[in-house]
Amino acid sequence: MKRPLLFLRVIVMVLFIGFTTLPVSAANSSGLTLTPRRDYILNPGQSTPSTLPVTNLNSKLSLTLTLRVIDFTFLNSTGTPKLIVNQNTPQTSWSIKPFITLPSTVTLGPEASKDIPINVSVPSNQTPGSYYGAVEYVAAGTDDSSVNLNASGVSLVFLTVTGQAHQSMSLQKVGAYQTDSSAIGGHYVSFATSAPNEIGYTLKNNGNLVESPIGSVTVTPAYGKNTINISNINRNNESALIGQARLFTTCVNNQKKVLIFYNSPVVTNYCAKPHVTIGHNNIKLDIFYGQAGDTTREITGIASFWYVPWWFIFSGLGVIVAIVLGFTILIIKIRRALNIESPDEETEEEEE
Amino acid sequence: MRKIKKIAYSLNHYHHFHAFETVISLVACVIILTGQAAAVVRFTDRSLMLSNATPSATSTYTLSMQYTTQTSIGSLRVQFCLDPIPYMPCDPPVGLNVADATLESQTGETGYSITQRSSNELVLSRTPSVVAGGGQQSTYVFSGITNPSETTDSFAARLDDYASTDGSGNNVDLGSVETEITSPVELESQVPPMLIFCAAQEVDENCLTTNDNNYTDLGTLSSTDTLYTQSQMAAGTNASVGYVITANGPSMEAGNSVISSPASPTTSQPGTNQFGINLVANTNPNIGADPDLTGDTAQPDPLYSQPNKYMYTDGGVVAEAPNVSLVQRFTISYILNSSPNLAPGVYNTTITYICSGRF
Repeated sequence: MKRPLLFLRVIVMVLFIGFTTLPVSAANSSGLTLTPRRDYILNPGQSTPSTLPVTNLNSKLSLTLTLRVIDFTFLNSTGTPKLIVNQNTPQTSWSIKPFITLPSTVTLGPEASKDIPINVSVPSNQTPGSYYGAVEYVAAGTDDSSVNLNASGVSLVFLTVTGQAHQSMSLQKVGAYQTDSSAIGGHYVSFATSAPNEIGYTLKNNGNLVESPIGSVTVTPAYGKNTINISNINRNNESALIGQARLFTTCVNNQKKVLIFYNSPVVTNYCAKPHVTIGHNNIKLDIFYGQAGDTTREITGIASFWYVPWWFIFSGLGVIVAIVLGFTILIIKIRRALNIESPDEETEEEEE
Repeated sequence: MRKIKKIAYSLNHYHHFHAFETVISLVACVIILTGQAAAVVRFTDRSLMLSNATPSATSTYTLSMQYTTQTSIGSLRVQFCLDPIPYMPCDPPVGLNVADATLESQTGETGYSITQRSSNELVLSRTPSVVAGGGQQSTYVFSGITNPSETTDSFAARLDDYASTDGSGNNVDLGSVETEITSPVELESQVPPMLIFCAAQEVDENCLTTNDNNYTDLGTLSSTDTLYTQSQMAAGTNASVGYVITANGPSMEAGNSVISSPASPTTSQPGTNQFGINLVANTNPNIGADPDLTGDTAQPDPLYSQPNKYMYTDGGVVAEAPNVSLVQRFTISYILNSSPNLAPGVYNTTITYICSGRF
């Protein structure tokens, strides 16, 4: 009779320890999938209903999302958005807030998906151009402990209002580009000891349309025939926001590979080892931009860079040293053969 | 004899200069050349308007441009390719067919008729005449063109004009116009891009489960010891532009008393007010872990990837993937130090990790 009682005590003790050490379960899931970007093209006076699909990844908990539209701009010269989460910040001139209506909260059951209804509406007197912002989905957590976590996802939403918009881009820089661990992921190089794996170009968007330029690059060595043609230099369809000096990069030797992402194959680009000719190389850039129906504009640019690998430098120095040594030895031998001394010394002797 | 000796002596010393000159020449090869931009204008004010931009629809294309060279022109070639660059190979847009096109109207430089046609090329011919200058806009309207079936790529019309009437010989002007096929209202890739994100005290490597806990207590503040804890998050995307994760929220605070955060990576310094995070494995204190996937494109921001160094800025980027990224799990370490004269209170913060697509 004592053994069952002892067993019961142990069970109760284990349960007690479990309840006091395990964290209290939060009431809300914090895992979701969403659409990263949506684009709309509307005429002034036009509106359209649409949806934003969201899925709750959690198999046990429901997911309650608080929805709101926030503005964003560019963080730097890359495609990283700077989200303006403070609602007291003045609305941007390109804000999409006036054009979007959506529910304030959405609840999804465990592993459930839902198409969140949104409506995009453009007033009839709206100025043509691009308007953008982000729909933020906040999976609220608790806020009664030292460090509280919230998981939040964002869908970037771009609206193009058709008509005669102001399109203007200018080329700020073009050149060989090498990746590094800096915030923008790389830097321009004019002299490289390892073959530059990318060509970069920086375009300033001075208009009121978000631009996604297309074009080609040709890398031609000053000596040699290994010309490299790079077509479709904006493979990921990246964009330059209004007012942004946007850095675009393209692989010198672009290759594709297939990844399995959530049981679906997805093709991605990567920069393979480039075959750049040693020495001086010229870059020719040819870019087109312009929305459908509007004027297509063209920008060209030229640049050059030196590619001299370390092994080549050391080999060259070795050859030079060998030549200098050989020449020195030769001169010494000639001097010895002729029994030459310094003419100045000789002069002094003669004067004496 | 003395002269010969002098020359030989000079040679003997000249080799030093020669070597120096050679080295200088090599160094001269390392001259920094910066990129220069130069604009080239060909046909000007070029545009291409589609009456219907729906994939595979039959549409009317309105081509407009200004001729630049005032010389005798007898033909105009319009070639549709994915790449607008004239010297690049021409890959025809999939599904496009201009073979049944009709030249409905023309303004500006007129007198043309279609004399050659294929699925992606038209040649317009006329009796050669000198083009007018003065910024005259010329417009050509073609009906009966079948749009490309793909929406993923924009495409271009390459333009060349010739003195000959059949598009032969050297071209006089050239240029390209860019356009695209879109769904009329909403653009979406054939494989819908998705962004996956989760954050909790513990998450699994594919974001499908978490320990359902999204807070942690650090304990009692001490001026001699560092308080620390950790949480996890995971993210992935099949979007080609990747994603970015930012940390948003104030530092630890109790009323008006705020524990400041270093704005650059700093070692843990007990006895000072300091709140910071990083996303790599640390030994001082012994917390955190490196990201799961070493070869993945998603990596912690350089500022948050220095072992034993911590910082925090509201809205700062903590991790980023510039491309397609499998689901990558990050472990976030938090440290908290306090000075002896810190105002007493219950200090806490709510950090919202926002995962966003890039553009």
